[in-house]
Amino acid sequence: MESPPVNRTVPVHLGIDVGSVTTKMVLLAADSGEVLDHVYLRTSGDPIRSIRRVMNRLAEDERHFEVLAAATTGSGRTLAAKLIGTDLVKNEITTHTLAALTIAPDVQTIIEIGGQDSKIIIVRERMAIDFNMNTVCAAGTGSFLDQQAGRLGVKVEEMGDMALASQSPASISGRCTVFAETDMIHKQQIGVGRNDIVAGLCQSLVRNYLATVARGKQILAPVVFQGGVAANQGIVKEFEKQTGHPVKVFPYYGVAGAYGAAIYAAKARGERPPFQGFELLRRDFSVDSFTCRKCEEECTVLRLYREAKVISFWNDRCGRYSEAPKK
Amino acid sequence: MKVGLPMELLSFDWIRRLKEDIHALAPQVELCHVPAATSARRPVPLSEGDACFPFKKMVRTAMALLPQVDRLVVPRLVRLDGHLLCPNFRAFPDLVALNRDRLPGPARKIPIIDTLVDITDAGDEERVRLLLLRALLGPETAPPAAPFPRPQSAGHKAAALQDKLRGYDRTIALIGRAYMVGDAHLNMGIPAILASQGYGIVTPQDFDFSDLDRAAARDDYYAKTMYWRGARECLGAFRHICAEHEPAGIIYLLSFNCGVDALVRIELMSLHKKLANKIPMMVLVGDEHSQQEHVVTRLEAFLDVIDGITTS
Amino acid sequence: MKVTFPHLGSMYIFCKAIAEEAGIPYVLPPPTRDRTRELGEFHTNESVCLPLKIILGNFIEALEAGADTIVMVGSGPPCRLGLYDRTIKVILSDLGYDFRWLTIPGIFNWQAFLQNHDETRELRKELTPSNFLRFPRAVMIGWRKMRWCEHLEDQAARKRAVAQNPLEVERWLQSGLAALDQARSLPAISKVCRQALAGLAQIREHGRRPLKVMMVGEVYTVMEPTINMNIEQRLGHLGVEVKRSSYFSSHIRRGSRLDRGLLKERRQLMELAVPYLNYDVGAECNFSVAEMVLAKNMDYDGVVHVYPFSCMPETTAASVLSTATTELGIPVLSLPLDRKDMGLRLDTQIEAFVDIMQMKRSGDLH
Repeated sequence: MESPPVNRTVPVHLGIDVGSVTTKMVLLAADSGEVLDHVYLRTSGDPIRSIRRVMNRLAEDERHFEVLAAATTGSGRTLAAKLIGTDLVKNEITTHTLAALTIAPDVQTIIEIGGQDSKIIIVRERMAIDFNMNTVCAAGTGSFLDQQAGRLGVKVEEMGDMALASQSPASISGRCTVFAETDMIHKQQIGVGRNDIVAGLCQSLVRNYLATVARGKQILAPVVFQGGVAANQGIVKEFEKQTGHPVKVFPYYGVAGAYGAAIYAAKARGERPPFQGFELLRRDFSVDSFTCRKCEEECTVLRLYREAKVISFWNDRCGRYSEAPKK
Repeated sequence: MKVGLPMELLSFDWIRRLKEDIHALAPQVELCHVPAATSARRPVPLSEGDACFPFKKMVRTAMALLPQVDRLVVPRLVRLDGHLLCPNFRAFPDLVALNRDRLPGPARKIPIIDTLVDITDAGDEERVRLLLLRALLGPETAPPAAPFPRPQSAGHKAAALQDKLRGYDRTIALIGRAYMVGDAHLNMGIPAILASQGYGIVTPQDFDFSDLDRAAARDDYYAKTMYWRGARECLGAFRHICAEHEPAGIIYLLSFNCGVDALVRIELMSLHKKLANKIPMMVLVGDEHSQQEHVVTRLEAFLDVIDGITTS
Repeated sequence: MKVTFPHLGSMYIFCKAIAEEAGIPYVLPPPTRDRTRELGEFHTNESVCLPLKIILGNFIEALEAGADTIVMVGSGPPCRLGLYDRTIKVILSDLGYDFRWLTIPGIFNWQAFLQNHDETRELRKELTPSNFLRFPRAVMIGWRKMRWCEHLEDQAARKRAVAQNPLEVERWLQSGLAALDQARSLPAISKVCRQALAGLAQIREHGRRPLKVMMVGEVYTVMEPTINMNIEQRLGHLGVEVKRSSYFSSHIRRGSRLDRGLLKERRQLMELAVPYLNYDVGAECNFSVAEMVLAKNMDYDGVVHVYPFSCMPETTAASVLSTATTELGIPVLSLPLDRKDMGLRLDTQIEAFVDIMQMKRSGDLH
C-alpha cells in the first residue's frame, strides 16, 4: 500500500457528517483550528459513495493532509466511522452544540434545521442543558422546502429572496406536508402570487417549528441558526419576527455538524486507531442488512463488506453478531 | 375592579350562572373575557405542551388577560353536575400560575383565583359560590341572601330549540363538547355554513344535561360508568337526538389530541353502526392548523351525501 | 375456558404462574410486536393513547390464538385508563369476537362487587372446586415470582451501567427470568433467582461512577420495554443507571391502599409536587413532577420522562417538567411515545442527553 510521496504534511482534524440528505465534511488545521476545507454534497441514498468522494477530495489536495483524528456524526455516523476507521462517533445534537459554542461562545439558543431533522438546543453558561428534536414529521425541515420548491417550479436557493419580496404572505397550514401542499395548490389556483406563497411557506415552517420542536423551551438571545435551511433569508427574518430576537447565521452554518465533529476529534485524547479513510479509494466496500429472527426483537442487522468479505456487523441489540469474535 | 375570566370557560352553564351571580351581587366588578387587542407581541406561553387546541387557547387567553386585569378567575373545574371534567381542567390554574410567575413586568403579581369546583348538587353550588366570592371580594363577605342562579328550566330550553329550528325542514345534529360547538374559532364556522345551506342545527347544549345524562346511562355497566361530563353530554346527545329529532345527518366535532373525545369517538361510531335508520355521520377533527377551506370542502361533500340519501 | 391477559413488562410471569398453579387454562398473547401495534392503531383513532392500542392488539392476537376469556386489571377516573376495559369491549364486540370479560376492580366498592358478580356468573360454573382451592397458593407463588422478577430487573439496571460488557448482564437477566418463569415451587424460585443474582454479581466492572437517572412517567410506558423502545437498556449500555419507582407490585400495593408506608409515601410525593401542582391531576402526573424534585434532592444526574402521546395527565407533567428543568438545574429528556419509527432518532436523543449529563458532571465529553 503506497501513500503519495510526502515531504511536508499538514496535520489536520477531520469531521464528517453523514445525513439522510446531505454529507458534509470539515477539515481543521491541528495547530490553529482554522477551517482548511469544507464540503457539502448530496448523499443521494448512497453514503459509501458520498464518503468516498470526500476522501477523494482529501487525497487529491496538494497540501498533503495528515489526519490526526477523525470523528463522524449524523444519522449515518456508525457506518461512516466503520469506513474511515475511527472510534470517535458523536450524535449530531452534541456536535452542533460544539460548533455553535466555538463560533459564538455566548450562544444561548441553537436552531438547527437540516434535511429531515430539526432541533433546538438550549445552552446556558456554555453548556447544553436541554434540547428537542422533531419526532415523527418532516413538516418543518429542508426536505419540505425542497419538495415545495419543485412543485412551484422555483429553485430552493431563490426562495429566501422571493419570501423577502412578498408584501402579504399567503396563509398555509403547517401541521403536515400533505395539507400544506393542498393549501399551496389551492392558493396557486386562486391566483396568489408565487412570492406570497413562498413567504407563506416560510412562515408556516417557522410557526410549525416553534409550536412543535421549540415548544416549551425558553428561547433567549444570542440565537444561532445552523443547518442547510439557514441559507434562506426569508426563514431567518421570519424567525426574528416570531421569536423577537436577532438570529445569527455564521459562515459554515451548512456544515456545522461536521465542524462540531472535527472539534470533537481535536479535543479527543489518547491513542487513536490509524485513519483508514483512503482505503475507500482503493478497495470496494458495500453494505446490506438482514432481519435477524433469533428472538422477537427482530433487529435489522447491518453488515459491511470489503470486497465480498464481511468485515463488520452492527445494529443488533443483543450483540450476537457485533460482539462475535472476528474470523 | 377588573376581573378576568377566560371566554372559553363561558361555554359551561355553571360559569355563565356564576357570571350572572357576580353581576347581581358585586356590580363594582367588571368582568372581562376577551383580551383587548394590543399592538404588543403576544408570545405563546412557555408551558402549554402537547395539549389539545382548546386547552392551549384557554391558557393563551388567560395569559393575555393577565396584564389587563386586577384579578384573574380560573376556577379549578373538577366536577360539574356530578361528573368529572378532563384532567387538563384540574391543572389549568397551575399552568396559568406557572406561566404567570415567569412573566416579565408587573403582570407577575396579579392574583389568580383558583377555587376548587367540585359540584354534584345545589348545596355544592352554594358552597363553591361562597368560596369564590370570598376569594374575589374578601374573606368577610357574608353569604348572599338570594340563592345561586338556577339553570334554565327544561321547558325553557325545549321552547328555545323549537324557536331555533322554526323555518328549517331539515336538521343536522352537531355533536361536540360545549366549548367546541360554542366557540366560533374552535367550531371552524360550521354552524354558519350549515345555516347558510338551509339546515337547522341541534347541539347537545340545546338540551337539559339531566336528559342527556339519563340517555348516556344506557351504556353504563355497574362500575364502568362514563365518568367525564363532556363525554356523557356527547353520548347522551347522540342517543337522544337520534331518537327524538330524526336529523338528516350527524356531525361529530372534536379536537385533535383530546383524550376524552378519542374514546367517545369509538363509542359513537359503534352506536352509529347499530342505528336502525342509516343517518349519515361525519367526524371532523379540528386543531389550530385547521383551515377553513378544508372544512368547507368536507361539509359540502357531506351535504351532498345527505342529499343523495334523502332524494333517492 | 381459555383465559388471557395483556402484556405489561414481565407481568406475564405473574399471571401465568397464577393460571398454571390454579390449573386454569390460559393463552399467553404473542409478544408485543409491530403487528400488535398496527392492529391497535387500525381499530382505534389517532388521538387514542398508545397503551390502549397495544393492549387491544394483545387481545386481538390472543383471541386469534384461541383465548375466550379476557382478564384485565381495572382502574378508576379521571384518566382514560379507567375506561380501557369499556372501550376495548366495544371495539372487540364490533369486530365480531365472541369473548367473556373480567375486570379485576381497581377500586373496591359496591358497584364493582356487583359488576364482578355479573361478569363471573358464567366463569364460576366452569371452574372446579380444585381451581378454587389451589387459588390462594397460586397467588402466593405468582406474587413471589413478581417480587423476585422486579428485584432481578432492578439489580440488572444497576449492573448494566457499570459492567465492562453490558451484554453479559442481558444474558444473565434473560436466563434468570426464563428460569424463574419455569420454577414451580417457592424453594425453586429462590434458587434460580439467587443463581441469577450470583451471575450478575460476578460480572466484571469498569470502575467508573455511573450517571444516574430517574425514569418517571405513565406506568405502562415506563414498565413495558417494547413500548418505551427499551430505553432502560439503551441508557444502561451507555453507562447510565436507571432507577424507576413504577413496578407492577408497587402499583398493586398502591392501588389496594392497604400498605400504610406506601400511603404515606404517596402523600409525601404529592407534597413534593406542590410548588408546581396544587391538586391531584390524575394517574401519575403529580408523581412524575414529584419524582423529578426527588431526583434533584437525591443528586441524580437527570430525569427521563416517558408517556404516551396525547396522555392528558402526562402532557401536563411534561409542561411542568420543561419549566422546572432550568430552575432545578436537572436535565430532562421528555419522550412522548406513539409510533415506532423513532429508533434512530431515539439513539441520537439519548446520546445527546448522556453528553449533557456528562458535561454537567465533569465539564468534559471524553
